[in-house]
Amino acid sequence: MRFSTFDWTLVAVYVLLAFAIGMLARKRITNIADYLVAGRHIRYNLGVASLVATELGLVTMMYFAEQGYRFGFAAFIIGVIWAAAYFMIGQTGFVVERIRQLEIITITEYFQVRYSRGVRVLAASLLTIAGVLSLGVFLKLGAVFIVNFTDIPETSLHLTMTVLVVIVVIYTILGGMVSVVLTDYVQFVFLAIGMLMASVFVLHYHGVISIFEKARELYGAGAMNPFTHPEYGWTFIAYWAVFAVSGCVLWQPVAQRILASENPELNRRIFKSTSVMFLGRAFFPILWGIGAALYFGAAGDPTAGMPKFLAEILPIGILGFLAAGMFAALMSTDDSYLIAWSGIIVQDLIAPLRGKEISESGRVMLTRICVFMIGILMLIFGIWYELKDSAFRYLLDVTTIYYAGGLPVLVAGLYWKRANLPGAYLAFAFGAFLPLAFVAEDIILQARGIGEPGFFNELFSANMRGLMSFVLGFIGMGIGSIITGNSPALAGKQS
Amino acid sequence: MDFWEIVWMVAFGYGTLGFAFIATNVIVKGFAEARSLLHELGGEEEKQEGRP
Repeated sequence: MRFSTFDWTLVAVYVLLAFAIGMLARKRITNIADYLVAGRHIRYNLGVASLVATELGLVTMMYFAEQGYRFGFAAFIIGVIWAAAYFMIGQTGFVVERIRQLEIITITEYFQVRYSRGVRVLAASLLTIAGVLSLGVFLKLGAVFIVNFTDIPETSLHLTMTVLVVIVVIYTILGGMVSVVLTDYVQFVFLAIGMLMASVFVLHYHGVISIFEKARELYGAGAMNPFTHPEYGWTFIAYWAVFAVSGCVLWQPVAQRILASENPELNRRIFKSTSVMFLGRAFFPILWGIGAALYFGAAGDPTAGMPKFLAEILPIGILGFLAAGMFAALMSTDDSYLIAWSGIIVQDLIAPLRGKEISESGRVMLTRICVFMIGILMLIFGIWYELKDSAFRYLLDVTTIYYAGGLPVLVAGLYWKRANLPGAYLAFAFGAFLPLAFVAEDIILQARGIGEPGFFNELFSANMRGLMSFVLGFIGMGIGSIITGNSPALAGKQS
Repeated sequence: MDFWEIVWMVAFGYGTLGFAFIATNVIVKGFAEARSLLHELGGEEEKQEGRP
């Protein structure tokens, strides 16, 4: 390992810069819209930087690299579908244009406008479960990267996680969305340059053409085709396509940027540009993962392989630049997610359930308290929980808890006049059932110390479970709305 | 080279060039927007405090 003092200095410069921005932004926050959606002043370039930076977390690099390490170039299909979803939304304005016109702060707020307060609270609860369950893994994978990349002793993993949480929580509490967007920009600069440079070094190490030949030898001749690949195949492609569209319109950190843009038309431009960036977002770390697999062999550790490999082949200086970029990736994603879920808890759970109006400063204070509480929760869960499958699979499952019901409820609410309250409840109940049961069973089994796969694990394959959840969500919305559609008391409000 | 190797090679090339192009644009123009964001929010704060 060659992580030098110069490399550490680059990392330290970035952390200090992030704190300075947090302090600077703090003075500008006057109300909840400033804190959660930066006063709706985000323009095109800052919007692209912020959207890419938020979705380009260290966890993203780690799970993409893990997919590349395990399954080779077939994993590129993940990036292609995700980019296609963003492009389609940018081209058509599907959901994002209508939702931005409503001047709301969270997507779940729309569920109250269109359906009822109960639907909003249910959606917010499912979203909070999905968000907090993902955050623990974010922290763990981030710490695995830093420990392996910088050669910190592995015994310091938990200490590293704790330090990371403290840093992120402090500056998120200080500056809210303004500091998040500004640090996103700084992260974008470090990470975009760092990722391109790292990819050049990986390709230089293995050879541009020969990396494909070596991969064919390692993974087998048929492993390039995602449609016939045992890990992916048609079920995965169908599931991932619906999941990607949900990710564009429902995932609160992304939605928050849609709602923070200066006007609805801008969202379409941002989504189209971001779609190209998202090809690189997936391709680069998958390439590094493949490079690591070729370096360490198929028997190596797919999770820790990528950081170890990069630490071996990158020169001093570039190592520090990429580490600062990765550190920035961790911070800017974790801070965005902290602020997103704290916003959901305050705006969509506490405020509607309390009944009485909460003052602007009260909401900002409550959001800051939630940031702190979620930080503690993610640390505890991140230290305790052990992943059974890949991180990518786990994150798909926990996120589907919300997406599978959220997508039909949002889309039908915007585009289908007959969508109504029972339909919304049924969509959430049907959609969340399979992934929630699977994840809950997994956590219970781990708490009891049982290593065997549970009932819901064996009921369907992971791809089929995800796809079925979305199908069930849409069936729930259809059945509920059609059967009870004639009752005026249950009819949805047109937005 | 088989079909999928060519597909992934072309896709990777397109993704890399697109990424580099948009990233350069965003880095250059985003800085001015970041300054403007701080300025606008600061302006609102001053208005609320009754200052010019």
